[in-house]
Amino acid sequence: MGPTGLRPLDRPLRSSYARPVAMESSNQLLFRAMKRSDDGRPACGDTANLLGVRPGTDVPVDEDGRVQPLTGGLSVTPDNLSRLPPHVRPPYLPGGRGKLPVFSLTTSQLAPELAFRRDPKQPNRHAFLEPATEMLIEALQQRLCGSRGVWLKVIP
Amino acid sequence: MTNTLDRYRALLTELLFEREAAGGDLSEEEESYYVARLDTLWQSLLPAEQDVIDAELAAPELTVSGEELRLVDCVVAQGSSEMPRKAA
Repeated sequence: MGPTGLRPLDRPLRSSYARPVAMESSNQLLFRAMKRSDDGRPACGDTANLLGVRPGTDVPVDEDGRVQPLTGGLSVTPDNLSRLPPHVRPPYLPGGRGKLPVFSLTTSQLAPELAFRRDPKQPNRHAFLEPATEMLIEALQQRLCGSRGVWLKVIP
Repeated sequence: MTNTLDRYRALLTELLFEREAAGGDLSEEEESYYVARLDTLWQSLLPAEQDVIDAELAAPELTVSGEELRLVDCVVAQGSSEMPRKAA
């Protein structure tokens, strides 16, 4: 492990065609199925399948309206589109039955106030975009919604 | 296998039926209604149970042809080893 706690790459990726693999780096691919707004970008909000967390469900909120790092956040699927749950996995992939639009971004595009963390229970299938520091829930929602411009719709 | 696994299967089947009944696609709002509930069930499954669902859904679907082989009855003597029907 390096000083940042991230595992260094054993060797460089050979080409731009290299498939995303499960390794910690500053440029992880993330996927999420979300409803679209009129401009085709993810719609923001605090209910399911929107670009935002469900307070109390996705992340605990204290009585002062604050959220903490390492406690949860926006659910995302790391590394590979085929690791999305079947009900949102695009139908052109094995087992895929999804119809909601799927968007992707890389972690390098995130605001510094947001942190990527793999779900320790399912590190290859599930991860969180969560607050990097203590902040108000409204600030977290704003940061998440502020990323809507860098989410790109996945096209088969 | 857990009850959650069965509930996931049932709800996904319901979603597929609803899509079919709607002509192939639901609105994003309707789709999202199901996806939210399926997400909750999926996250409460064990990784091994998720693998079971993945394997089930990735298996090639059986297609049943509407055509049947046309057969005609044959005259067969009692005790004969001839087949009693043959292709038309």
